[in-house]
Amino acid sequence: MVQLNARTVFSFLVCAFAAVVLFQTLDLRSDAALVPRVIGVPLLFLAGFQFACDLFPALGTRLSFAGTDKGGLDNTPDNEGFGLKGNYPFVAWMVLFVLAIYFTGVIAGIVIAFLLYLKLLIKQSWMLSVLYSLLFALSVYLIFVQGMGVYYFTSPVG
Amino acid sequence: MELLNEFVTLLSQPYLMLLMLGAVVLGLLIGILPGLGGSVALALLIPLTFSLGPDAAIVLLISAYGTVTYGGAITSILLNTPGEATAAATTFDGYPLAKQGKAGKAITVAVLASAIGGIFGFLVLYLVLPLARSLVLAFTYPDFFMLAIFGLTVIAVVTQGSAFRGIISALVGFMLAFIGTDPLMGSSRFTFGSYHLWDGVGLVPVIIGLFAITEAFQLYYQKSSIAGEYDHEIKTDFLEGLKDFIHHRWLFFRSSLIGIFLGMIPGVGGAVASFMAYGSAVQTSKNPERFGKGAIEGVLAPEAANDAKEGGAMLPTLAFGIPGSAAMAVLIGGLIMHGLTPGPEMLTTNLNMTYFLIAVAIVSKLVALPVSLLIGPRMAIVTKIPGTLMAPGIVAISFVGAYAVEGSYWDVVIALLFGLIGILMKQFGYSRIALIIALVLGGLVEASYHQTMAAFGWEAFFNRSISITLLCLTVLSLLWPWLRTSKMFQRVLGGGGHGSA
Repeated sequence: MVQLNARTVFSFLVCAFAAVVLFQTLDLRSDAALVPRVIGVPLLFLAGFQFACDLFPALGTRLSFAGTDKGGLDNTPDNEGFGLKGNYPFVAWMVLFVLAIYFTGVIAGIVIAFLLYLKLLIKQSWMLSVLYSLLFALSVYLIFVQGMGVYYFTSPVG
Repeated sequence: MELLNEFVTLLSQPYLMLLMLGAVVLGLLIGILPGLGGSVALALLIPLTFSLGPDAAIVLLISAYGTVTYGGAITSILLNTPGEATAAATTFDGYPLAKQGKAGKAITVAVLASAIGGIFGFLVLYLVLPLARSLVLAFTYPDFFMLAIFGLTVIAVVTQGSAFRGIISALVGFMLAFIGTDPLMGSSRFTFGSYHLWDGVGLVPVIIGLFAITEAFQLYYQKSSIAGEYDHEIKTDFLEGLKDFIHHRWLFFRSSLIGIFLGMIPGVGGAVASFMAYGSAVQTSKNPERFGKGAIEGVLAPEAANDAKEGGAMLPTLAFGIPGSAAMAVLIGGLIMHGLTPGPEMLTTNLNMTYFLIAVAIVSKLVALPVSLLIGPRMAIVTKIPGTLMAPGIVAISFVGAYAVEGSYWDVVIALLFGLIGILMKQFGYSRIALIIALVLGGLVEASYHQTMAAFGWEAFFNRSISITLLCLTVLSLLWPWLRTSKMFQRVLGGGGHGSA
């Protein structure tokens, strides 16, 4: 049975990345392309195999090393349930933060992004939202702009 | 003698000592915060070193990194919540001790074991440096090529997630390392027409994305604070802790040696070192039944191993430029930014900086000792802050840090992109550590390959004893996940080969 989910899409993207980079080596001089090809071909093969195992879970179960087992030493806590699903507002907020830095600069971007996050995303009080945003932006300003002399925290388009 | 000179240099500069004190407090705070380990601490602090000289940058990075483990131990004992996996073994006996009202004693022993274990690890590093120096000078291009491949395969196979996906992660890291200009002609390669990629993918933004942003997401995902109730007025008793420490000095010595040895092996991190030391403490105890119920040896052994492993991990990092862990990969990135390239140079032309680094590590461990005992337990209150409030702060520091690297907005986008990639890698069991180490090693692998071909020809990979040995070890490490589960291998081990250390 075919299984199409986030895992399958991710392994497809890894596979696609390998394919695109390998395709690009066709335009390179042979000596400059040699090592990337030596790495890229096994990557394409392994990522393709992983994609097949994710797409057809029965295959992944039979070949357990590419399936869902945990080989080697697993030092991390169980990640079950962890993932983007259900947390898209946080991802959208990070994207907005990056855009705010682009259009308003780092310091103003922090204030805007923090206010949006604290007030809209996790629904904190106005008092906490304003204080946290301003104090954080002030700290960044004092450490980086005043302390370290970083002069480029203005907007790239400003 | 050289080390003594570096001690004098360090101690005679009040500015550096003040910086060390600040870094120790920062490291302690980061260690206490859940999920934030040494690699995140280094990734977030690197941007702060831009305006500093190499010596001050070393003081800031090494002091903060060395103190992170102290913070992890404190939350393990007080809250039964390790800041990161390396402190997990400390919870087994640390938390029961806290419940018996002996938290102060447990923290004192943990901090003492961490400090003296760390110092012991760096002293061993200092002693083996001359040996490593003669070894590294015997290495030529094919040996470096094989060493980089060996180091990476070990990391890909033994770190978290499946070994198969670990290898895929490492290969992706290599491909990312090839983006930019080719080392032969200097023409652009895999830049997809974007001038932003001419210098390759920046190491610091990728590290910040993969580790700091991913951990910030984890904090947001957890929503609530990690802290339970605990006694805020804990009294640490240095003399009583010292008495316990001296009483178990041989266990400390054995655990530290385990840590140093495991630290030298790429990919085998502090978690393995501390669990092995704990296991060894249980096995050699006359009363193993006390473990898990509040045995002080169960705190001392993992903490000593966890900090002693830092000295061991520095050896492949400094001598060969092969990072054994994510934190060491980040440290390499930080050192490179300050004109110090880990590898043979650190044992020849930059040997004084290596001694300075060891001196900083040792002094910072001593500085961290009273700081951790005095304010550590009180700082554990930060664990009461909900993850949803900490997450935006970490994301903001990450973006600011990425932007501050070169003043390039593109680096902020890279940090965000790799933050999302890191979340997906963590979710689906790919190894972020293998990717980042391959990204660091990609340049070395390609350069040493071309240098070998130009100087010796391909046969050099197979006719030098060092290369052959490393090649055999590489093949063995690739086969390890399958070997260790094979019936034949388990029969050879007498049925004991089912554990993974």
